[in-house]
Formats: sequence, structure tokens, C-alpha cells
Amino acid sequence: MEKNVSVLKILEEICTIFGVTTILLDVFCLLFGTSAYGFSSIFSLGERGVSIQTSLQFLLAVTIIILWKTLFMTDMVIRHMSTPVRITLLFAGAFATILVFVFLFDWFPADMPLAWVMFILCFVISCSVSTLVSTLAERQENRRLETALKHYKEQRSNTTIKMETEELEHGKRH
Amino acid sequence: MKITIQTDAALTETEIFVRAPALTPELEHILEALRLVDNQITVTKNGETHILDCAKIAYIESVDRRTFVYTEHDCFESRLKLYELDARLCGQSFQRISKSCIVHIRYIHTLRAELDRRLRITLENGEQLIASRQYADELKKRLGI
Repeated sequence: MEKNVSVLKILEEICTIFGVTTILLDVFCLLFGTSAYGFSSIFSLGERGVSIQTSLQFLLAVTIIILWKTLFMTDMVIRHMSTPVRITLLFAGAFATILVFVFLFDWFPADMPLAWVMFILCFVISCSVSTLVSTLAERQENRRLETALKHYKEQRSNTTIKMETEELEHGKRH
Repeated sequence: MKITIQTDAALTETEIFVRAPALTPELEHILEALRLVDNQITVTKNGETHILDCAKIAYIESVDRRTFVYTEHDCFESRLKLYELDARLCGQSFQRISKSCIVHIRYIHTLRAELDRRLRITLENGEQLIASRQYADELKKRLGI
């Protein structure tokens, strides 16, 4: 884990994730805006897009989640914790944040079981996909590192043998 | 300090002859630097001075302004600062991996990517070191990634 994370890096991450979220929200508004109008505050403008209030709510949610990430996935505050526990705490923090926003800003009707089922399903799928992608990327990176290390050692050992042979020949000549 | 250089075509190897009234700490420092050119390092353990072959060093660590040299199964102390050793050894198979550590790449058993682009280094003797993000990138570059 990284020890010091700059404020600029955190801001960069917030802007990137907020940008992607806004694009996805716009797409959802275009696809389901008309049918979801009246059920959720997110779709208060129907297929016309996302309102300023909703945008700001999402910006705040993204900021809180990134702060959770900075807290759990770096060494800034918590120094000794295993990676699985860190990931679990990050997902729990993100889930709790979204839950608060659902109740606070009526993102979907809290008395509708189907909405909850869909929300939990989407959350679990998102978490599983992100975990899977990062695990696969990590495995690929580790393979690349192992190959590069092996190659480097072989190269160095060949250079050493060549140098020793040259030294021996040089010694014989003298 | 007076420095005299004599060249003689008949000589087969370079010889450095030091004349001094006493073996001062400054002179010892110079000798240690000279030994590094010969891929050797002067280290101490339990008050005894040893001359260690650089090839036997697994990693070097700086703790509380003191420099410790680790071989596969032993630990020594060096009078040289980490930046001095870094400057002289990094052209070889040594690589700086953090502000306080230099590792001998030959002794790396495995490399594992950690979160936030750090690297976990496991040495041949099972010891583990962490390469900070900044130095991890340099290590990767060194390995050709």
C-alpha cells in the first residue's frame, strides 16, 4: 500500500469516476428515463438527462467512496491490514454510503422490494466484476514480472560467464 | 592530503599505496570507497572488520542513519551511507527499491504486484521487502518492462 497519496491524485480520481458515472447516468436516462420518471429522483427530468441536484448528489457520493478507498486501500491511516479485509471494508463503506443517499435523496422508492433486489444485484455484480478484473490484471502483471526477472538473471549470468572466460584468457596470455 | 600518481607500463595491475601517519576515520572512508571499485565492501560485525564481496550482498538497508548490509544468512554494518553505496553499486545488479533500501536483483526470488503499484519482493532466503511506487517503476524499467 502506498504511504502518501497526494490531494491532486484524489481529486483526479474523483473527477474520473464522476465523469464515467455521469456518462452512464445520461445513457440510463436516454434508455429508461421516460419509464422510470416519477419512481426515482435520478430520473426527475425523464429522458432529458440528469438534473443539477442529482449530479451534485453523485459527486458527493463519489467523493465519499474515494475517501473510503483512500482510507482502506492505502497505508495513510491503517498500516497493518490484509488485502481481503481492506477490499471488504471498502465495499461495505461504499454500500453504506449509497444506502444513506438512497434514503436521503429518494434515489429509488425504499418501500419497493424489487428496487432493493435490483440495487443489491447491481452492487454485487459491480463489486464482483471489479474484483475479477483487478485479480486478473494482478496475475498478468505478476507473470510479466516473473518472466522479466528470469530473463534479467539469465542475461546477467551469461554476462558474468563471458567476463570470467575473457579474464581467464587474458590471464593465460600474460 | 597529497596525491601522487605514478604510471609504469611494466606493471600488470593497478596498485594503490597509502602513506599516512595514522589510520584516521577519513582515511578508512577513502579505503572503503576504493574497495567498492574492486567490488568489495568493508563491513563490521561484533567489533570485527570484514571485507565482503559485493556479490554476496542480498540487500542493504538504512535504519536510524546507520547502514546495514545483509547477506543471505548474516548481517553487517557499513560506515558508508546508503546514497554512497547506491551511487557505486547501482551500475551492477543492485537497485534502489525505497528511500532506505537497495536490493541485489540476483537475490530476488519472486516479485509480486501489490495494491497501488508497489512491489513485494521475496528474496532467496525468504525475507520480504517492499519496493515503493516510485522505485518500483525504476525496478520494472531495469527488468525491461
